[in-house]
Amino acid sequence: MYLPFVGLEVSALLLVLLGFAVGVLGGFFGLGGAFMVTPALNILGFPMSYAIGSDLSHVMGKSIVATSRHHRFGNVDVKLGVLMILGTVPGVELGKDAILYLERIGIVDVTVRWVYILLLGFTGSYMIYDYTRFRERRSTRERMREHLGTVLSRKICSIRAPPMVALPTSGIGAISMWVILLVAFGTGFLAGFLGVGGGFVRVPALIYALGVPTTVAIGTDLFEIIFSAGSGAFLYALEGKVEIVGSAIMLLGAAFGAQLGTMATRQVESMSIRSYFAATILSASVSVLLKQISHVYNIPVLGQCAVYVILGASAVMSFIIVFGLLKNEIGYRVR
Amino acid sequence: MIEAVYAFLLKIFAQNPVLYATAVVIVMLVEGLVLATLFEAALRFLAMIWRKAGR
Repeated sequence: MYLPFVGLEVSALLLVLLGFAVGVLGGFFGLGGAFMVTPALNILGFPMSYAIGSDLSHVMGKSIVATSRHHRFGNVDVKLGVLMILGTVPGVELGKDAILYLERIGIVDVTVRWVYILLLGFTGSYMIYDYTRFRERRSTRERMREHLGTVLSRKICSIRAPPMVALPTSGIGAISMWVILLVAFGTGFLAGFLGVGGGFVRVPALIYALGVPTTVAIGTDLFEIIFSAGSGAFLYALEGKVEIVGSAIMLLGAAFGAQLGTMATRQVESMSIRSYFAATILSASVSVLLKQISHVYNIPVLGQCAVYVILGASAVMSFIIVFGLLKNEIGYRVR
Repeated sequence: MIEAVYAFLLKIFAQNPVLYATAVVIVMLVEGLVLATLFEAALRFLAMIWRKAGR
């Protein structure tokens, strides 16, 4: 179908499938999934600012679907989510201003791609390292310490800058409100700048910096993404940078996928979710790197490889999650 | 039909960008809520069928 806002001919089925795949990943990992959708749309031919704006609008709709289900599972810390929103909104605004400035001076595509590559690469590598370190710990006692948070989170929680807040849903007795706002501002800036809900930064930040349990980090992040992506979508729409029909089509697939992804979080242990998460964002990083190399050295075949890497990784991970969910559900029913 | 929708959207955007941006957010919100409700209803329906089949 023809999308006049961006002047492109794109298959509607492809948009639905893309939406479904990232919907599964979003519900399972607590992400908007924009780290895959934005490059994918860019690769399909959307200019970067349209890819970001269209993605933010579909992410908002999908997050509503996933949050409602996570809330049923008791995975949403509303107090933490509201505090994160307060810090995120000004961050998104600043990020959007930065991207529009870069667009005016003509370096938006290359800058966003490099930030993607470095941020996703670093975060994914650290999470893989953390997972392998966890697997090496044989004793149950050492593994149980994971529930007490990380060294970093314990240090952060020991900062006594009033007002202090308690987050019982996240198992945190007292933490400075300023720390939460600062983390939220930083992740909000990245959300506006990269056109993501901020989840791939915020979920690790909640887990490693604040010590929030993985499933609660996922649910709370999705809750916050509704508002951060919503405000981002509004700001981009003001500039006319949202391809609304394309977003609505993607949301059809994403809403269904998000429900399945959320249900799958009940079947997998927390550390395994983290390892899947890391593998997914590393593949996204590789894809954008290929695209960048293709752009710089004028090698079109690498650009095509980037498409296959990002869509393939998205499809494979979604398949693994959905297959695992169905297998466990059917196995449970049979037993 | 899709051309008419786009013409309408472009007209709204040209006349009032704030209204257009608000419409974008509302459309996504409503679509998300409707799809969540439909999925929930489908799950309940499937669960009911499953229970009946189990008897």
